[in-house]
Amino acid sequence: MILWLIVALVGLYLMAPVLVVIATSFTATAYPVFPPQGFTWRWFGEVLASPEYLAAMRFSTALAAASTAIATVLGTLAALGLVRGRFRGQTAISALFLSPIFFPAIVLGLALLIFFNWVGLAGTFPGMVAAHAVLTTPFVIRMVSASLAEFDPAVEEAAKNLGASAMRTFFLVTLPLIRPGVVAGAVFAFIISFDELVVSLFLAGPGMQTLPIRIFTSLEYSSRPSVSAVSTLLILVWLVVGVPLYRRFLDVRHT
Amino acid sequence: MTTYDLEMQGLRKIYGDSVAVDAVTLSLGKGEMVALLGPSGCGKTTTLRMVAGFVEPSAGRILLDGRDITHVPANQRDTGMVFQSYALFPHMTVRRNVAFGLRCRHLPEDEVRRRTAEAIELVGLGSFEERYPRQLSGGQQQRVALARVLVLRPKLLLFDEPLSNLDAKLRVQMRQEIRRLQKDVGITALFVTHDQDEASSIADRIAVMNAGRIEQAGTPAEIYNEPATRFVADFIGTSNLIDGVAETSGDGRMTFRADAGGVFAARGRASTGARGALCIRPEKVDICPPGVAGAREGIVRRTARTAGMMEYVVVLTDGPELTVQEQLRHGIAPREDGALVGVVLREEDTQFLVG
Repeated sequence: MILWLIVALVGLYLMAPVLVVIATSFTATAYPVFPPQGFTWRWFGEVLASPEYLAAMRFSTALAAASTAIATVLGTLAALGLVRGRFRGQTAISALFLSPIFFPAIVLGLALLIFFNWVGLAGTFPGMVAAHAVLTTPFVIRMVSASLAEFDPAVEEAAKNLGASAMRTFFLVTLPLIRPGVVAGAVFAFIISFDELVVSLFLAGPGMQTLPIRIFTSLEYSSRPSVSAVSTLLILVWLVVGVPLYRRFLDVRHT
Repeated sequence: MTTYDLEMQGLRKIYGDSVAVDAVTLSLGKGEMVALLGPSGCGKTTTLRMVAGFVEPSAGRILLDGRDITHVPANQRDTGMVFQSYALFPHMTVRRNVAFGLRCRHLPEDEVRRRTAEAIELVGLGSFEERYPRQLSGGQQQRVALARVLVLRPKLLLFDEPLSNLDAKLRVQMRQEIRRLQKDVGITALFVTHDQDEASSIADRIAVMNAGRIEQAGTPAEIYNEPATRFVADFIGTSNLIDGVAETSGDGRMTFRADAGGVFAARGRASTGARGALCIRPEKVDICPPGVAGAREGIVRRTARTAGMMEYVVVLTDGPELTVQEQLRHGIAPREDGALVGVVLREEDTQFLVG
């Protein structure tokens, strides 16, 4: 009973900001207030009719898709090497590959800006894709490594013994068996890229507005409930895509 | 053409500064099933994996049907391996598991289908074609693993402790089945196990391995009756090992003085003064009333009853202790603890082992 109370309180504490945002997106006032006054769908209509928001959503989607594709391929290959390989400095390299998770985003953003200025990628779309891939690859490595750890290496040996080439073994045996990890890694990469603000702020060129940048700048200049509405839309997408995935791969009760 | 199907010549594998396999030389005749038997860590699995192509030998050669395959990649060796964990493809049905190797060979689809169906029928899984491995029992998974390699008609079958994950009863049943299938298809086979009963019942010959070396290779009866080394005598069945030195020797016969006392006649060759041990199997010692001509005398110290059999520890008047087994026949009363008994040791059942 007491345990349930604690769980409920912690849950409320964690969820309260989200609930506040959702509530304010329905307020009839011209600025976000909590508790909301009245009820209206107006702000959702405004978001979906706004060329700026729609362009930002498209841009973020393209950026997330491109960087996810790169992160998924690189992360899967890196995980294979790190889990399967036997070489010197394995632990150090593994830590290095996962380090973008732990670096402060602002440090990474600054470092990438300086480096991209040098190589001429700053303010370009490929530059942003590359930066986002750096941020998201570690998540793919983690997910795929977890899948690989549960995998009986004898299965790959069996494939080779039956005459399969390395390519055939990978595509017909290894990949199907680690697919849950690869899919989870890709979805996480997509969500993290879509959500990313700090590094994007450093690297975005003129006219390149991701959705988080758009929300951020909207808040700077005006304070309309449409910002809450777009946030609510993001939460909705997360509920539809992220929660099933979370239950499948990250639920603490399964580990 | 050679008379041997598989030849291992001076195989060696070194990991860092430890020698996992050392100078393994062994030849398998056509259609022969040979068991590599030894305790864990003796190098038997490493040897098998070198033959399969999963471990690169540090030295030595492997010949399959006369062809040197030492450096041929695993997927071009034409060997069929059955793994301890079965290693079935969990995302494929029984049929697709069995067809996998045929598909790798890019055979026509109708041939793939026909041979797959035949192989599944051969192992008696005809009604399980569309099942996934997780829907099968351990024994059935084992059969799928067998069908998956038999369907390819490989030159050599390799078994890596394939029965150790099955329960005792099924294990005995699968032994006979593997033996029958292997003889039916006539494919030479190398079978790794740590279980001597399994090795004896499944194999034509046994190679006993210890610390990376083959200590002895021979038929199960040879290994049991004429162990070549102390390790083999100790590892296979139970043995009385009596330490001592050789006295006189000649003509394959010798006399032996036990450290604990007493002189014994034995089979074997050794120079005078060589240290070693006498090996005597407990069931080859006859126990009789005291005073029988040619018998030694001793006192029963411990008795233990097993099914239909009594086991005694007899301390000989000369000094050494012997474990002795006696079948309990009708009308024979078990010997009492502390009783004086006679013990007959035949020279031909008493073997000298150096070391």
